[in-house]
Amino acid sequence: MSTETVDPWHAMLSQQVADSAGAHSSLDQRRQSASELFQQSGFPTRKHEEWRYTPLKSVAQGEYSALLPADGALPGDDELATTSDIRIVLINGRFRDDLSDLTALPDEVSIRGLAGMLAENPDSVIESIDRLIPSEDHPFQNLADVFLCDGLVIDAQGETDARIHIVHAQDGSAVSGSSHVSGLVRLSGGAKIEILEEFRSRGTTLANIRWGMEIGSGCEFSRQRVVRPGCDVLYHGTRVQVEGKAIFRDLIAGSGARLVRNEIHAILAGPEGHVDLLGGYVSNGDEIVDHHTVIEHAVEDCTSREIYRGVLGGGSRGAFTGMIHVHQDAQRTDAEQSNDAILLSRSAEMNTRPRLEIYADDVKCTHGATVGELDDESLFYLRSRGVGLEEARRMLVRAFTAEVFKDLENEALKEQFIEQLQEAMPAAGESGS
Amino acid sequence: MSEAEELQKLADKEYEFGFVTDVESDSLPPGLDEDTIREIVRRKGEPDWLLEYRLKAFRHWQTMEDPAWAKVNKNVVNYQDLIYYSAPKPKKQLESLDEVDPELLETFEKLGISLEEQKRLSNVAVDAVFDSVSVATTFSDKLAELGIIFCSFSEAVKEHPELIRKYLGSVVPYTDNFYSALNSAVFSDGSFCYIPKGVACPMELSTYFRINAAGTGQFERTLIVADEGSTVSYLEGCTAPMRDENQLHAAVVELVALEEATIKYSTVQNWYPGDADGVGGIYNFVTKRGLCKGDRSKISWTQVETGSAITWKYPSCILQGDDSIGEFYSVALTNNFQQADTGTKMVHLGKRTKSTIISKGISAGKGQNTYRGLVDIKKGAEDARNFSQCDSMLLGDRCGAHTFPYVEVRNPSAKVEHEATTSKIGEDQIFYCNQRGISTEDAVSMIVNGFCKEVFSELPMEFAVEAQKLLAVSLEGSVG
Repeated sequence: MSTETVDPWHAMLSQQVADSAGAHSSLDQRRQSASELFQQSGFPTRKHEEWRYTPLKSVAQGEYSALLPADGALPGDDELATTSDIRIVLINGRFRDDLSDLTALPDEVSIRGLAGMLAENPDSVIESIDRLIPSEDHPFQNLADVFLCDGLVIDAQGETDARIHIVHAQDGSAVSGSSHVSGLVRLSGGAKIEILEEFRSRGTTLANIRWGMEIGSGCEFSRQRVVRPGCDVLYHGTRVQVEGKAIFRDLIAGSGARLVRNEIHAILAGPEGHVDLLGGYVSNGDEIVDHHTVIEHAVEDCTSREIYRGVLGGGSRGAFTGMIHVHQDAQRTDAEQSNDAILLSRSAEMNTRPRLEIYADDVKCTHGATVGELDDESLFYLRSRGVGLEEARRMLVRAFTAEVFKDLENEALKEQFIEQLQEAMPAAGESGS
Repeated sequence: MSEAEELQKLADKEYEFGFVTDVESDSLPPGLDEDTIREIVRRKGEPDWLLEYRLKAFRHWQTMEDPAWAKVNKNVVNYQDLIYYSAPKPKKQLESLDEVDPELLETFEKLGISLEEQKRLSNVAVDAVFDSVSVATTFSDKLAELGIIFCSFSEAVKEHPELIRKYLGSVVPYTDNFYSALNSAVFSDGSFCYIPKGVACPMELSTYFRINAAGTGQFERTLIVADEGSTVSYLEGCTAPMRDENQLHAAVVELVALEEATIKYSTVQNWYPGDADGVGGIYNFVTKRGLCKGDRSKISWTQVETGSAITWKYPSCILQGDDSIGEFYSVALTNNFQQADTGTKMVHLGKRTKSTIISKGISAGKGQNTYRGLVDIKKGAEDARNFSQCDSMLLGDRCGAHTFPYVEVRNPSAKVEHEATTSKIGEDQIFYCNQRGISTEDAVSMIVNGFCKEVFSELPMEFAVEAQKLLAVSLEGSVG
């Protein structure tokens, strides 16, 4: 049964391996082995521990197996209150020079399409991919390896401060399918980069996006990601190596996507590094939101903080898996993690798995998880002061998710994120609570 | 004596309870097939329905694989090398304690459990399991007056087949897991307890388990049924003699609490943990589960786990009745090369069900301590409530503390909280104690005991004292 449902993918993979052979030997090899791994393992079922709460049945069926066409229109409008003047657009996984604006790029920063880099200097970029995104047997990583063709390479050297707005757009209005993007970020010499990464989609699409990053000593990387309503399936994987005194900050907000799987694997590889992972979401209908994070404290004196908060309505399902792995030499680690969820409806479901794996003794690690409904007493408090039920619910959800957005400096953007979440809230009657 | 010498002395301290009793064993040859099971049934004189049950379990077990998901390193157990039945040879029908094999009595003496003493001085009834077969049961008459049945499992099979048939496997079916299937096929003996309606058991019931004959797997079966409105507190404690090869202990404990019944099950586990190099020690793979069947019933598990090379158990509660309560209090200590993967499952089915989980893990030496737990709020569990707290303490930089909680919520009215912390004993704390003339060893013991206080306070008095001593002994040599 399962082989039948995966068949369209297998055919696509074999075709792709054959078509792209001969471009570059080490890339061919990577494609070949990823294809073999995928042919063997396919998409995991819910018996697979790492995918226990994320059913991929609909993805495994052929709907998404075709590649989205290389051209396409930008779905949706630019609405976000971004402060960046550098704008990158990728449509259906292709870097679009014509829609991007790099004129304000400082000298210290370079942003290139991956396809262009592969054509020009394949050895160096493939070496970077192998180093920053090592091969592993993972369904979406395997697909990304096989279909590797375009993406972004962002390099920054020296003291600079750049804000970049990246739009990942999927246009599935003509045909349904998937796109696969690989991105590299390499910061060194104290560079500071801030990225606003936006996901938009029209039609039946699967966006498979992965990043490999190295944040050099003393560098700072901040990212805000926003999943805009209308997105279909989004896999987003980030593997980041954080060197001494470097900072990696990530925030993901969103609502309205059918399935979001957000994976982050952060490795604190130099002393006094810091990682900040934040997430806030509202889900409804039969949506699935799955945050899957690993923070590895490999060396001493690093800190990490993780806060994910979700509000789940309808028959939606949320999952959180957060591993904090403290290696033996990672003394004086300070790691904090919390995951809270509010269930608005009887058919919503939350599954949370905070995990600590600790091999050093001088550490401070805490994690907390809560699941509950909107507090009746607080609702009553507000309503007895003349606030309507809907407004009171919105206020409480706003307060609940505020923690996640607290440190966001761009007030207008913060307001937009919170508004999007409030918009997505099902009304009290609908959710049956 | 210098500090180094003192530490050396402590580190060299061998397992206190390591000795072997020389009792003639009546054992089956090693190996397991259907004939072994038939032979166990024949020797024990068990009825056909039990043979059927065992065979079904055995056939199911053969289709299963030794699970590998726990975070432990273990040697492969060869199930055909184990001896599945071993009984002290009955010399004649025993009528009083005087007739019990004197060597056996001596063993209990060394462990500090003199049956005579206990019978006379304390208010504790003891059903001593010595190598799979019960040797002596005390206080039975006293309990019988109240209608309480407390006897060995074999006896219960003969005397109360209707109760055993009704409840055996009702909480832990043989299909549940690899070890419960194995246990269901070959269980040798254990304890059975039935508390009738409205009776509060007037004394703590306790069983002392002990593994003896070399290479014997021990497969206990415990079944406790508390009828409507009854209460019982059951204590289980164990120490085992020194062995070089790994011994397997795969027990099954089933608790059933009917309407408004309360069962409190306490364990102090101190099986042989292996020596300082990680050689030998007991594999303790136990399935413990309680069913809060009736409304307003309550099951409380308290465990202090200091022994065994590998401890792998999850005493769980199925909260089926409305307003039922499940509790889990645990202290797990791993030193040297010990590994513990333990925790609980709280499955909320009934309305307004409540559960509390307090888990304290202490890792020292090269010990690995894992908390693994599940809080599962099902759709119908209106207003369910859970509070979990998992704290870990690390002593030394070669050990590990891990936490893998699972929280699955399918009802919005549930309130679920989970907290975990990891810490070590600060040098400032030790210094503070040293300044006041408290040795480092005592200071650590004091702090650890304070860390575990919430759990110890749940233990019955006698056990609380024993547990504190055990922790101190188990931690010896780990401070430096």
